[in-house]
Amino acid sequence: MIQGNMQEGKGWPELKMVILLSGLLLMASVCSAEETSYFDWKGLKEFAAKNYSDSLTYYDMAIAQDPSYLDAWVHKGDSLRALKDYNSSIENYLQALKRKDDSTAALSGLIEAYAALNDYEMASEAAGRLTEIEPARKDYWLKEGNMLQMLGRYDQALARYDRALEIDYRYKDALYRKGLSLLALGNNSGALELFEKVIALDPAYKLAYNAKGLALQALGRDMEADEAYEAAQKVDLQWSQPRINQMHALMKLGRSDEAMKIAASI
Amino acid sequence: MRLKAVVLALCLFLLFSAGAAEEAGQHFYDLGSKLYSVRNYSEALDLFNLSLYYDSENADAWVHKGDAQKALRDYNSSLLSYEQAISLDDGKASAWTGLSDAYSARKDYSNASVAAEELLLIDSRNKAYWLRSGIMLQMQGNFSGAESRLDQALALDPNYKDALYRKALSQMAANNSDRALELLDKIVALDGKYKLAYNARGQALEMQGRYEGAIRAYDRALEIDPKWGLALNNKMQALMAAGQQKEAVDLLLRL
Repeated sequence: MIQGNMQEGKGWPELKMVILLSGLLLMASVCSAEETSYFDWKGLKEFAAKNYSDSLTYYDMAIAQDPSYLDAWVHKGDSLRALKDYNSSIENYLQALKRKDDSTAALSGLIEAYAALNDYEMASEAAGRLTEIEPARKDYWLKEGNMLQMLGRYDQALARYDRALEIDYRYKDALYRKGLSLLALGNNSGALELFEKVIALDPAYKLAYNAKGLALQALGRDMEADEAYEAAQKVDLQWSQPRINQMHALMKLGRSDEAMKIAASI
Repeated sequence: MRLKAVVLALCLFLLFSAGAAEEAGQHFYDLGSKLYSVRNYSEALDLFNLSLYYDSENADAWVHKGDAQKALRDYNSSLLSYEQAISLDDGKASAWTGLSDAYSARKDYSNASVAAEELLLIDSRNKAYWLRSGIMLQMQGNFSGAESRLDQALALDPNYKDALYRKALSQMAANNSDRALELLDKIVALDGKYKLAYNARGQALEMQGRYEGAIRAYDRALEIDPKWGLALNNKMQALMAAGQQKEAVDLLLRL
């Protein structure tokens, strides 16, 4: 038995060597991976400090070390987008998607970059992919709806907002955007109802007051529209949109002197 | 005899020092003005302060200090500087102009108007002063009062576009959109790039319920300045009024 063990022991040095080498290999890979994530992390730190060009250097180092490192591609895309180099940012998001076609971070970045280029067709397509991947995310439905609105497809957008509202019926942004779709489609009462709902949920939601004014004007209720615009200005004194809209409501009410007082000061 | 010599020497020394201080004050004032002209307001302000340290009687330096403070949106301090300039020279038009602008920036149109009236006392042949006075009255909602001021400006220069534009606003305030349109047409005949006139034409046409015409007028303004928020917003309103709600919301989303 002991002799047998001794004979088996003859193979120990080779086995040790193999184990040692495997260990070294493992350690090297771990170190390398750690270094890649370190570069990516450094890039993120620069990004957070708004040093976008510097952050690119770190992301490039991460990518050079490990081209399959998805986050670095996405983050590089984000930095390029911050630098308004939208075409290059799109290339990087697509590189990320080549490695993982359901990367929601890459798709989200892609939507923003296409939208910045006013290519809402592509942005909408990317947004559609997001809702396919994670249909439980209300913000993804909102995003897809918004892109469809930018394409003027208000009826299609409605369905997306409804999906978002199925998930959260108090989702203010979706209620507001749904209201805009209804307004565009000429359903002024329906739009008004939604804008009022948003205001009830959040009295500081200035966009809803402004849109409520528009819906009221469309309904011929200019006096109430004037009040809605006044309320919007109480939320944000510097916001010019409700002031301009109020001027129009006052013009329709025949209160030209008040309207021109606004016109004179803009 | 010796006393006389000492007094003479002292006087000469004081005279020389005063001259040197004035020279230093002027030097820093010139430097400050240069920095101001390249919009480096903070450093210009430092130099105007230095200039006033050497020569606190320089009304121009007080005015420029006020201008720099105004550019830095420190309106209260700028008001004090302009008042200091006026206390040194109450006929200093640039100080009254600065004062009027600073009050206006604070939306204190009543005091801005008082300052504008002072300018007219200094020079009633200056059309820009009549215009300023008219604008300040319009800002207070006194459109009829403004009109007489604007007429004075137009008496000095019948083709004064800014006065014609402001007069058109007064006409609209008085519900006289036809007369406003005449004035605005005159402006665009004088200057095809006067975007405010096209925009106001849109408003006058809206008053008359001529929404399609208003949309075209806003489009003309947007041809001159495609990103102009006021004209875009006005066009959106005209589209809504014309029942083109889809197009109106398209625009609203891009405002």
